[in-house]
Amino acid sequence: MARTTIRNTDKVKHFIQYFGLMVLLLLVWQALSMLGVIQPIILPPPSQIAIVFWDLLKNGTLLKHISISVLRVLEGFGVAALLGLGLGMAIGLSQTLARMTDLIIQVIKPIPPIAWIPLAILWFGIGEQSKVFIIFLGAFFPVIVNTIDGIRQTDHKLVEVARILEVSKSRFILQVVIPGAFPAIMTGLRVGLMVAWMCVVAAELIAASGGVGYLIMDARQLSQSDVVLVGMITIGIIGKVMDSIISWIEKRVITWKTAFVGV
Amino acid sequence: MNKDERVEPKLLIENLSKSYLVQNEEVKALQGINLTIRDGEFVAIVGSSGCGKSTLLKIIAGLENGYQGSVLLGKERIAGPGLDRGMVFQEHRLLPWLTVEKNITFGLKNKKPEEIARLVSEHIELVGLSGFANAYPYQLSGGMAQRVSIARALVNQPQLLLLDEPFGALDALTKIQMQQEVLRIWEVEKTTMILVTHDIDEAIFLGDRVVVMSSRPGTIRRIIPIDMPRPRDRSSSEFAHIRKEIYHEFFTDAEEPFAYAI
Amino acid sequence: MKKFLNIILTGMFALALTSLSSPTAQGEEIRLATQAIPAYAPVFVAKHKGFIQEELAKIKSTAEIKWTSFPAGPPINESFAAGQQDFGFLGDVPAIIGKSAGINTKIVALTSSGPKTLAVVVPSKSSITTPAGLKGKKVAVVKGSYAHHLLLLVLQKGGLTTNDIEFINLSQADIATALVNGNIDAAAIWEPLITKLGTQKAIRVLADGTGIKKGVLVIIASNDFITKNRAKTKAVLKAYKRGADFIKAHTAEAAQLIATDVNLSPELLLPVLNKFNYNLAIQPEDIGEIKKSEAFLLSNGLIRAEVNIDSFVDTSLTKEISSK
Repeated sequence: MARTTIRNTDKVKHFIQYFGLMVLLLLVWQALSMLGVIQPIILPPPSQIAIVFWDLLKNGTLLKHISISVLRVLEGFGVAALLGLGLGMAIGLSQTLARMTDLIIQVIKPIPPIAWIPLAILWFGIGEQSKVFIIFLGAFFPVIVNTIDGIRQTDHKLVEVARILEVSKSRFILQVVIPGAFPAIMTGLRVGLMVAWMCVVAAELIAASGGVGYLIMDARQLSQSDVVLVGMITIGIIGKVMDSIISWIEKRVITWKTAFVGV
Repeated sequence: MNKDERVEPKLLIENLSKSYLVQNEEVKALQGINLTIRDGEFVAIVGSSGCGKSTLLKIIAGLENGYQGSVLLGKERIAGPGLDRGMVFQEHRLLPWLTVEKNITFGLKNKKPEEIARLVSEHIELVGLSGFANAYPYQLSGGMAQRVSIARALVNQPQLLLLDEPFGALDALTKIQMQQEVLRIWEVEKTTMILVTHDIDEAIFLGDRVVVMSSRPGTIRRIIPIDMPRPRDRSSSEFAHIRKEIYHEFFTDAEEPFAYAI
Repeated sequence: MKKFLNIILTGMFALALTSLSSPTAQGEEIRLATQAIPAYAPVFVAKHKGFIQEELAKIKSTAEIKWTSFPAGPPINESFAAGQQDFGFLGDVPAIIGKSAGINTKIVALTSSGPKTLAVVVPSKSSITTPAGLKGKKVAVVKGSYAHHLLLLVLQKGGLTTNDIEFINLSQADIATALVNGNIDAAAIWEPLITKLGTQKAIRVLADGTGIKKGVLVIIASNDFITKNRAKTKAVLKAYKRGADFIKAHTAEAAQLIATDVNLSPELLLPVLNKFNYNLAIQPEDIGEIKKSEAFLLSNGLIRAEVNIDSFVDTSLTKEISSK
């Protein structure tokens, strides 16, 4: 009898821990706004943001912008995943290729996607392609770097086993290297998708006429901080949803691992 | 290749030496090893850490090259790893993303599907894991995983089975169980086996002969034939006598520990 | 322990927020937000000739002038919202947008006006000859600028609305590239870009503000500053007026003086200076123009709260200056 009671209070405790801090911050924020300590143009109160959010949702504007942005992200991420996985595997498996490409990758990697905007406009104009290009750049490096790492980290103990069993090169790559690299590859894809989504604001600086990034920049021109915040929060929520989807995929694909969940 | 066609494996090691370069200094791992192993024999190599016994095994497996002297399997000089010499390591080294069945299948090469099915199920039975064909390594205990590893090594019917401290990671009770298993498998398959261990009792329990190695550099101090019938009683006086003999190779009277319990 | 930490964290958060809302210490500093365009030429003349310092000296002030340059009106609004500026030079449209969003400012003077200083242009090779020809085309403008209003008025002339075009929000710099590369079909821009691209033969003017929009540009000042420093406010405005007078009297010399401030060579700058009317005083018809801009913003949903122009515009300061 006592044991079930403890479990229930545990659940309640966890619930509070999960949402507590956020709720507390929101209440303090609302209170400070209503007391006039925080000016609405600097930081609109949660109540105002909620109203704007609901309005934009109701008249379909928000969903329209979300779908435009999500489409762009998926396009950019798709290309990044294909190229990143392909090149990453080739580089991971070939020492020569690795030596040839290492310098280029290391030098280009730190350049933030935003810095590419001027070139993107010159090369691709102000249409969809330049935006997808920026998003692609954001997602590409996490994917390729993690793929290379995953392949390089192939357990050499398994390599010895494969040598003894005279496993052919193709079977070795398909059955030992790539499955072993899956966790790292999934991490790369996950991080890549996140960065792709974060780049959507940068990408939509290029003459966009739709999308969540556009929504934010547009509201900025008109000094509408509440819409800016709605845009930001939307980006956060969608990002979280995307992350959850990939995590779910990861769990189904990598069924042989048991993850460390904490002390 | 079936068992009858197996060539007398007669592993012939003559004057084998191997050194490593450690921080620009030459370290001799093995010095002047001479050893002949007959077909169907079970040879146990015992020694303390660093005596080169694992290096010796790896050279036989073909995972280490660059040695002086000769190592011949039948008439062939060993130059690299191959299916004719199976190996079981201290870690099970199974592919975590494959089931037991698929892991054992992984050891097979160029076989027709029906043959694969037959061989795999036979070997699952051989190592006593019937019913676990679809389990993943993370679902198995240490002992069970090691059994799969043995099955994988044997499924190709190699000429030699090399075991490098195969039970070092298992608890004491499972270890004894696995020793009995290996013995049973050896009696069924009659594969020539070379086991490397630091467990003296294990060596005596399993081996036709026990090769005692000393370290730095690794040499063979003594080869002790074990004439006892199997299964051997670990508490018998004969067992104890041999145990004491081997001990003398490692410890002087003053260092000999009084009691040794499993 | 956790609860205690929570309270500390929210306390720190709140403190950080309050520091955002209070204006930064003004001390002996007057902060001007300008744009590097000929529309505000007088202020640059005043800068080079030291007019502002002179006027401040007359009222025994040793305040320092802090200059910040912005690419357009909307970023100036942001800076005002953060309490970082005292004076701003921008178009009437962004000034109204800022006020509607809650920025506490007043329009204290005009900087200039000139219907030919803003225009809807097309690439020189374009086949578009009338506003109606913009239908279905890619048209770029800085959203929330006074050229945005012009675009709407020009579209109206052709019987179109923004729904009939592909509306693209671009900065002036990006518009220049896009026009030259042919990435867009038309744009609404202001000087000096019109002259720059015109002399390069890259564009053709489709329609400018003549007859439809006077192109009123204003000086805004933070209400706080006006209340606390009325004398200094007038000093700045007087200096601006002297700059404007100088341009009228010595246009060529002025062009030489401020060419680098507005990114235009003196030869090209000279005709542009003549396009502007740098009159400080706010006339009733100017207030009428500003009201039209407010109506445009409200009806197009670009502002949500209406702005009472009569109380937004403060003519008292300029009246006091001219009465002297």
